[in-house]
Amino acid sequence: MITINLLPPEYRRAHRVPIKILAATGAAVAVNASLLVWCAWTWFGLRTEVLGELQVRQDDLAALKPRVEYHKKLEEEKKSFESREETLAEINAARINWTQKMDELVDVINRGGNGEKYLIWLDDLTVTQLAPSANKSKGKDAPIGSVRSNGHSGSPNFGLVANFFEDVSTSTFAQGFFPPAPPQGRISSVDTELIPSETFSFTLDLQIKPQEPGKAKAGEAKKAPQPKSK
Amino acid sequence: MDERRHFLTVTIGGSLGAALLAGGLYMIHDGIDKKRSELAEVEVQISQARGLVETTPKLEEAVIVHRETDEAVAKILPNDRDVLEFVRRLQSFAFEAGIRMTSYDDKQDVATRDAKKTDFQRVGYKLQLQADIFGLMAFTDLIESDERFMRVPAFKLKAAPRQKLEELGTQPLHSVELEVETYVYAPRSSSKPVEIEEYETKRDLLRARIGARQRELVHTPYDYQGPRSRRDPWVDPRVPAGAVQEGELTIEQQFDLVDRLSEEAKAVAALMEGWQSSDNLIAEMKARGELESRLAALESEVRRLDAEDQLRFLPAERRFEQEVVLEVERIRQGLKDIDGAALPLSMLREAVDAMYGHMQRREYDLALEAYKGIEPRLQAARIDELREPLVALLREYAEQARTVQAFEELQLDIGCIVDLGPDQRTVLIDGRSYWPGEVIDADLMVKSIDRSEVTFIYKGVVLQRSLGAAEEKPAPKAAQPAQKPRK
Repeated sequence: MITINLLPPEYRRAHRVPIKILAATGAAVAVNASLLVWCAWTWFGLRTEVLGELQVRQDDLAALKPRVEYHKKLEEEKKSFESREETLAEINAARINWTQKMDELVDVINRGGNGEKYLIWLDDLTVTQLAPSANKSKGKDAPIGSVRSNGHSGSPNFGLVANFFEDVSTSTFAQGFFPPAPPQGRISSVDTELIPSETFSFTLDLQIKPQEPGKAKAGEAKKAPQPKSK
Repeated sequence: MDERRHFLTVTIGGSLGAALLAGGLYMIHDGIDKKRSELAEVEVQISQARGLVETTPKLEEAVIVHRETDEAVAKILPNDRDVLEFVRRLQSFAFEAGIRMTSYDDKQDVATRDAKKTDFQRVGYKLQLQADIFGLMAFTDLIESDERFMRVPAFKLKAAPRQKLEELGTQPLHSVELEVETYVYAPRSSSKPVEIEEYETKRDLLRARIGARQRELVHTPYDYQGPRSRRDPWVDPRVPAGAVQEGELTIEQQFDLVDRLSEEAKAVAALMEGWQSSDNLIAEMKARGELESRLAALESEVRRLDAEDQLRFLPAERRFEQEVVLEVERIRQGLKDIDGAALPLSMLREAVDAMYGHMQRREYDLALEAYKGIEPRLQAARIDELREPLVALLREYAEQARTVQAFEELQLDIGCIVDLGPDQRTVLIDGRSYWPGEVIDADLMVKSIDRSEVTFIYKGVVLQRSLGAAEEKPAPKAAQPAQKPRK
């Protein structure tokens, strides 16, 4: 059905936007405007600030980079020096001063006097020492070498050999060795053409102790001998 | 209807717009969050970098110290292999130690075994040599004390056979097989040293640390003192039982002899102690006299034993060297040291008084005995201006005493004095007449003649002899007796 308003215009009701639509439109505009402002603030304010800060930090980092590289190069150089010294320390830690050891053994043997305590002489001396790396596979407590010597005691009294072994064990010579095995020997054939005519033969067998941990620290064992003034 | 459409259009359009804006907002925030996390990451990196850079000065110092001490390390482990130098050095050590090297073998296996594993290559040599134990120790000491790192990882010593000892009659040489190793530094990758700003200035500031580090790298080697009269334990010390021939000493006799000499050496040492602790000059002179005579006798016996080579049994010989020879040397050296020191003034004055007293009492023998006690010290001692007049006086007294003794020994047959008036006397000596002023021989002159005495000048000393002195032999008196020294 078509409704026609025949009233003169001055009597007709005025045409107005319905309140509902107005309210909806207003709300939509308000929400969208707020969101737009928020977006603008986030984009132009917050984001720019963060980006600016990031840029500053990146610049800082870039400025530090050459110094960091310099530091790393120095570290590399230091490591190469340390590696050399550590290897030297390892090598040196495995070194035994055999002059000192032989000198101490000669001292011990001469301490026997004229035979009152003992009269000892030796036929040979065999010293073997493993390389530091060679011993790793055998365990940390395994001997790193040995000192072996066949000797004679100028007396039929085997107790004098025990005296000698006791002196060896308590001397500085025994430092760095495992304790020697108890003395064993046999009487040699009596030679009446020599004085003393009866002698005991024995074997002195010593095992070299492995280097104690910590002794091979860099800087401790890598010392070079000071040349002697002759 | 229009109204409704409008409403729907506005509502849906508004909602869509809001949704779009919300989505955009979400995306912007997401982007910002990412940037923030990136920022946090950069800040961590910066913080790490700063932490690293803060330690750079210390690292620089460590590198500078390493570089400066590397010279010392390079001496221990040189960069070059330089095997020829290594061999030359071994040869010079052998020469210095007085041993005979018979072969050199390069231990190639050692070098190839380690070459691929580390930056260090082992260079080894197997040497065969002949030496007594002390020569060998001198050689290994030179190797182990060298500034270049060298080690002896293994060696075998085989004692010289007993027959050789008997055949040669000298110290036999043992056969030795010795391994010597050194290491050379051969870095597989070489890096250029970093350029450190103001290196010299920084290095100068670290001088003390560098010095300490260099000292740390250098240690005192073992102090090998040589044989020190010890026997070589690789020499059979037994002696042949039937080797004692006529004139040679048996082992018991050798030990007895060494025992006796050792006791005598101890007695002389005790005498020396007694002499040093004497509380007066007379006791000191007596002790010194006895010490000198017994020491001289002991020295003479030591020399004789050395020359005659009577001590053949090595233990006896070693004991002789240790207990007698070294002791005698020690005492003699001790005497030299004491004599070399300045004499106390009080002692010199006491000696002058003692000699003066003897001279006054005409005890010329005792005066000379007193002088004998102090004479060795006068010769060796430091004489200064204060001591010089006293020493001169002592020597003068001694000379006078000797002259008087020599004059006493002179055989002068004084026959008679012929008196022809005052100042006109002549004396008959050995059958010939002499006037005052006449020379009898080069050292002797007649000075004056009295009624019963003749005065002579003998070696510059005025002496008198009475008539008939040949029979009585009276003690002549010094015409110019020793004058009391001024103190």
